[in-house]
Amino acid sequence: MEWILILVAIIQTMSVSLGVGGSTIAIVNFFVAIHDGTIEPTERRIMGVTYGVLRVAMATIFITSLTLGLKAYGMAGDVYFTSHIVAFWIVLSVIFLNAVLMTKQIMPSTVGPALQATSWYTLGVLMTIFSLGLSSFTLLQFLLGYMTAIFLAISLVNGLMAVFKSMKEEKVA
Amino acid sequence: MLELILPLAIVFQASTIGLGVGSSTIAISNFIVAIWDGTIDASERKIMGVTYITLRVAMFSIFVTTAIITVLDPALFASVDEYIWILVAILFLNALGMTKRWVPSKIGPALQAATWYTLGFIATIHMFDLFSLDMMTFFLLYMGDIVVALAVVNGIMHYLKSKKPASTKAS
Repeated sequence: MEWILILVAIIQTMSVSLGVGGSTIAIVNFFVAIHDGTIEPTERRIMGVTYGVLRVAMATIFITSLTLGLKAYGMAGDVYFTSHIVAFWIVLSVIFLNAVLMTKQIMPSTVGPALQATSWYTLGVLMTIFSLGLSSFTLLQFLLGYMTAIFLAISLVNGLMAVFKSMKEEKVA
Repeated sequence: MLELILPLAIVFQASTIGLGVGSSTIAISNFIVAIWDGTIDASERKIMGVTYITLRVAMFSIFVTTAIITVLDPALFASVDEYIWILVAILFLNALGMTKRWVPSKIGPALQAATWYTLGFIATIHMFDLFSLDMMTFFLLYMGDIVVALAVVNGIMHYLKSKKPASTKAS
């Protein structure tokens, strides 16, 4: 049983890694694809691979986190719900909700990819600082940090998109 | 100042491993999808080039962050330090080998992904103190990862080749 849990914990960390890398590639691919103004079918096909990998990462992170969470809750009870754990599940929920909204094209492309990448990186950072024993933050502190990171990512993504747009307009002129 | 740099380096190292694991998986997936029709056209190459650049950034960053951690707190990763450096060295050598076309495409991408995954595995078991590894176990684990990666990549490529229509095969 212990070995199964260790294996699940390793798969969970690797899923977060897959998500961090996948979301970074997705956002960079998006920049490259829109740089010339259009996304060609072949570009779309290759980009689809990244989204496929991200979906696999999302499915495995959910299954592994649920497995580990139920086990830990069964052992610790309500004490399990520390600010670190609540923060983890908030970020995971944002990843799922944002993915659904992006797929349904409800979430604009100026916000969705940046929010997704920030959430994956936040998940990675949360797991790393937990292993370092630096998880003594309050939920409010976490939310402020998370909001700041999202704001910075959205600013960066939109700033770069504006630069690309002006470069394209200059080229056309 | 050092108290701030070390945790930052550890967080960056973990994020970098994430970047490497994810990017190498996507690099392999892209490669398989791109060669499905027999050729890699310009737009496919452009998008795939982005992944390779991201992987180079991850490689540079893993070297820098690991060096910072090793210098600032040699005891922190002491039990796995040599494994991490062996894997980082293989990442660089294999990348060089692939760029210079010394390493065939049947081996290079799978070896690179297996190395990133092993790095992620080693970092995870060390960070969460799951269990310890001796050199022999590390070596067997790494070989196992390489064999699995080679089998998966070449198996999929073989499968796609056999599924390809006869007319495409001839061309």
